[in-house]
Amino acid sequence: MRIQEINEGTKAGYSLTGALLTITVGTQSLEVDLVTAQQDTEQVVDVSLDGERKIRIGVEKWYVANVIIPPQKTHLVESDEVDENENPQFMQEILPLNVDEVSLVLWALPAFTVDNDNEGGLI
Amino acid sequence: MGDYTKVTWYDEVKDQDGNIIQEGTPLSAQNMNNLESGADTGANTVGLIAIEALQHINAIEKDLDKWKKQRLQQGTAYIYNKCVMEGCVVSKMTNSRYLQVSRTGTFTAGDVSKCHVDGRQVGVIDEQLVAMVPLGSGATNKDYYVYVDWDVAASRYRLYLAPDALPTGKLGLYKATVPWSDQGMDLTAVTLADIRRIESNNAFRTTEPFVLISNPGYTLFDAPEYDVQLSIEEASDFSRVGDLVVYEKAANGFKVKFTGNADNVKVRWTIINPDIS
Repeated sequence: MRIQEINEGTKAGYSLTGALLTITVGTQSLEVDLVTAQQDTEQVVDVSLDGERKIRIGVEKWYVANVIIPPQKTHLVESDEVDENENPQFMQEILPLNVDEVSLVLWALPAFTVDNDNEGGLI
Repeated sequence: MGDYTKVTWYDEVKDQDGNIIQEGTPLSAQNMNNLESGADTGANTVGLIAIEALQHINAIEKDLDKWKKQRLQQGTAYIYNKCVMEGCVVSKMTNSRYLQVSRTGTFTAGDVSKCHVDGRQVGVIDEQLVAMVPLGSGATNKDYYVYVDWDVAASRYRLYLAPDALPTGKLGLYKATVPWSDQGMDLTAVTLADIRRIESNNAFRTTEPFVLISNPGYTLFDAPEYDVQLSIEEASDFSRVGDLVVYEKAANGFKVKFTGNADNVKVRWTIINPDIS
């Protein structure tokens, strides 16, 4: 996974287990299943804080992170079926997600989430 | 400050017989105190005016600072639109530390891959010995990026290898990870990960080029109720940029995309009418 920090400041935490990406802001966390989210077009999963400072998927008040998932890649595999001329039929098979191709963009968290009394830790 | 009354001072005037025809204003304690009071009032008023003026200047300076830093937030960003249309398969050469590129995955002299780079379709010929992957070193694995760029000397697009990160604005093809312990004569231990953006269909694309823009440190409290003016400063072809679109605005940033198929589009953005405090 490619990590990009878009600006300076304390960022959300993240961890990747297989294709399950966990994003953490203080005591709140949220999971993005990269395999489930992948489609035949590029998907941008926005992670934000809403007006009540809750972490959400989608564009709310503050960007926390953007997960950019590339479109599915396919290849042709021979199926067991044949056409009327006895030629083998091919079908498209989706290749497994390559996590190296996923980008995670991290944004500085708003001041109200940062605990300055705790050396910049998160509230 | 005391009460000051303006006094008109008169000289004492006598006629030739010594009779006083005009009383002079006495140089009395009352008149002198009145003078003192006037001087005191004058001095304090000037001081008050000076303080008030300084306060006004301070307020104006703060407001100007807000105008410069908050109300006139501006910057530039690039949006790149590069992709592989066909081929550009990078693979390891046998018994060497070199990479090769091909249209099909198998090197065939004369075969050509197709890419969309710098706003036009370009060909990348099947080629061997395109880049040598260094040996492992140090205590950690090292990443290298294979990308397409213009070779000025040869006047053609070809492959390059860059350590650590993909150079900005280049068409990345593969990431090669070299184990720190790799001292082999070939690339058996090296992992190649495909990072190509493939757009093989001419009718529609599966990825939308866009850029994320972070406003520089100031919060736009009224998000998404602010606007952004965009203008194009550079592009591979201005007529093929299409429309510039601002979308998904938040308090700390927004996204910009364009609808055309140009490349290397430099956009100047200016935030208009943000609600600040």
